[in-house]
Amino acid sequence: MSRIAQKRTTALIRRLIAVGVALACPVAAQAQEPLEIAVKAAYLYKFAAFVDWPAATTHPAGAPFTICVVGDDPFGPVLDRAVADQKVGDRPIAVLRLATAVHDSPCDIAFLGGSRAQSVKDELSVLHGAPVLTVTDGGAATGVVDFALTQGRVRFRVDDQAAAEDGLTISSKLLSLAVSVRPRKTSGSPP
Amino acid sequence: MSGPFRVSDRLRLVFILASVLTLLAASVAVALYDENQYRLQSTEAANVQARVLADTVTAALAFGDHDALQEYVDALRANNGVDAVGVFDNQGRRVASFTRSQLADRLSQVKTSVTAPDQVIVFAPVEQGGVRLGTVYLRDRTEPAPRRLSRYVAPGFLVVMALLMFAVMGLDARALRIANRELQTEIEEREKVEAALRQSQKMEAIGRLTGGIAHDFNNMLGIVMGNLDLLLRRFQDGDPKLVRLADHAMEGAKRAAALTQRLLAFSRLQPLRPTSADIAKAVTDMTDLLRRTLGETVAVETVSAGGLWRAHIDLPQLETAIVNLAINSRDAMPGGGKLTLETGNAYLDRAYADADEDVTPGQYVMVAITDTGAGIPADVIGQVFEPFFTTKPTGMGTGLGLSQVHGFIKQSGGHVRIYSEVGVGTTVKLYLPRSQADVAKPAAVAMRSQAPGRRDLTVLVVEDEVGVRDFAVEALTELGFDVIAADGAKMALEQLDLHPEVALMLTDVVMPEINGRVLAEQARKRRPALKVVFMTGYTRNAIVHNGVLDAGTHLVSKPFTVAQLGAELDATLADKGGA
Repeated sequence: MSRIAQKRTTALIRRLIAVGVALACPVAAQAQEPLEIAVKAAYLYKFAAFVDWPAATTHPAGAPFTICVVGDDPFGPVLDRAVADQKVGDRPIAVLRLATAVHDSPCDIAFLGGSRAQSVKDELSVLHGAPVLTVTDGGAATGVVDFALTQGRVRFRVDDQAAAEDGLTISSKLLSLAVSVRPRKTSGSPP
Repeated sequence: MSGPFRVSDRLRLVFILASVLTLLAASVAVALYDENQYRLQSTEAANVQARVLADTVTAALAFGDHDALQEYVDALRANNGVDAVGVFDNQGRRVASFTRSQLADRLSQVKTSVTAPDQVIVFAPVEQGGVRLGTVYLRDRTEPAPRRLSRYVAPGFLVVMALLMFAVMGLDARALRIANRELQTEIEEREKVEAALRQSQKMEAIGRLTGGIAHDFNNMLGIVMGNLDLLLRRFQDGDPKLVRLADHAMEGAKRAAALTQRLLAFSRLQPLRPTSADIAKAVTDMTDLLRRTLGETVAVETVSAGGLWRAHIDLPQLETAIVNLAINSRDAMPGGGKLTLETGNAYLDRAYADADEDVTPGQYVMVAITDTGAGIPADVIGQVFEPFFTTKPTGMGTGLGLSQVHGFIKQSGGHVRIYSEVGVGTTVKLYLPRSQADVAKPAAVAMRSQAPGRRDLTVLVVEDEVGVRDFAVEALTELGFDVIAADGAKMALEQLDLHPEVALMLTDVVMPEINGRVLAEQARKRRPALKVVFMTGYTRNAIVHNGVLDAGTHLVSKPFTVAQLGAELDATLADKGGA
């Protein structure tokens, strides 16, 4: 936990520095902030290729692959632009913004921004067990995938145990790229 | 016999050649196949490597983790065969690479760059979940050509050795074929020579037999003729009926003598007196005689080459031979025709001489007698020189004409050739040895004087055959000589010692114990001035070398008449040379 806290502190410092730089140099700040957001937006749909959803959740033919942003939306139009021409398999990508998490949402991937109405932790508990790849951006409560900044680059951690609980299978390729992986328990079986 | 052998021989050569070509083609094919396989394998290996890398870098490429990409790419450095590796994102930008030479920044440039022939270049797509993320480029160095070639050294060496072996086999087969052909030729030549030798031996044997008979027969004829001669001389004025009977007997004996003479000629046993003769002149001189002999239906033509050499030949015998041939030609042209007599110089070279076992190469004077007659069939042409062989109807020819010609020419050191074609004609060519003394020598036979008054001389007659001896004694008495007779050499020498008045010795040549020649030598030791005349019908003996009399030897041929004997004795006595 302390390691995560430390990471978080680092992230905060970086953000403060970024803000400071942004204040000092408005042009640079404008360029810096959207870049991180854009990378994360791109990552969101790229995760799809490395994740297998349970067969039971197979959507009807022609149904779009849905990326949900739950709670506060840090992306804005950046995400819409990022996924505009992308497909997952042969499915187009749709972006769905939700105020709060619901268990039976059409989401395949859900970015949990948290809000006053529903904290990230609450959102996670609502989506627990649902076949949704939960993505968080740092913080105490982490989803299956949790963004992290490492040496100024956007990286991620993977909670394979949580993925197993949601019935998801994450490619070892993705795991190998993760900053850290919480491995799934070998004896545990998904609900 | 040679046919199937040659065929199998050729088959073997073809087989060897085919094997060589097959071996060469197979080696080249194997080498090409190996090379191609190597190329395919190299490409396949590069493909696999590229695909493995593509699979490995998927996530790193997707999430732009360049450090991880570079690590993956660098892992391939361990493989020395890898020349360059590049990972390009889906915009074609190079995001990670390592290279031992160089690599372009953009995928499009990489794709169009020209590469060396010993490089294998492959591309592998980087995909995840049906999404194209980028491209992996991999450039392998194939093994350098010299090293690849070095692997073919051992099999290549084997192929070369095999080819050498085939070459040796081929040369061997060829040498064998050539040797066989040479052997074949040699066998054929030997067969030809053997056939010629057999023919010559046959002629020799027949000649010896004929000569032997003719010799003995000659002696007997000598007795008959001599006695008849004496009879006629003594009873010149006797009963005309008896004289006529004796004349008939003499006529028959003379014909018999002529026959034995021809047999002796064939046997090469007649004494010859060769001189340096102008053959062209002799032939021209004979033309009239031949016209008369051959009749009006046969045209006679003579063709003489200029600068003709003189021949060393017994001219009267040659004339006889030509007449004989002319008569044969006439008989071959019952309906008339043309007889051509041709003379020319000829050089029989070694090649010509080798074709016939008893021809000596050298210079000859050629006389060709050509007719336009019936010709002689090829199957009997080999026999025409044999005595008593004749193509004429029974009773028309003796079969001795050609054999006499053959014997005479051979004895003279010449050569006879006969060419004939049925229905076209026959040519007989006589090759007479060229005379070494091109200027005519003074006549070998001395001038014969009548010398009628010299009858007080004593002659010693030596002859083992009593009939001949008696005749000789009678003949000499008839000629007016004093005669002492001896039956052999021993007695002759005794008589010489007893009778110093003996001026001339008439001796037989062939006698038991001591022959005439030895006797003459011994007699001359005692009496150097003694003149010697030999009697002989047979020349194969001591006084004759190769059928030619020693110079200065006086000889009377049996059978002889009193007149012939007288003439020879007169010639001897007139000869100042003594001998």
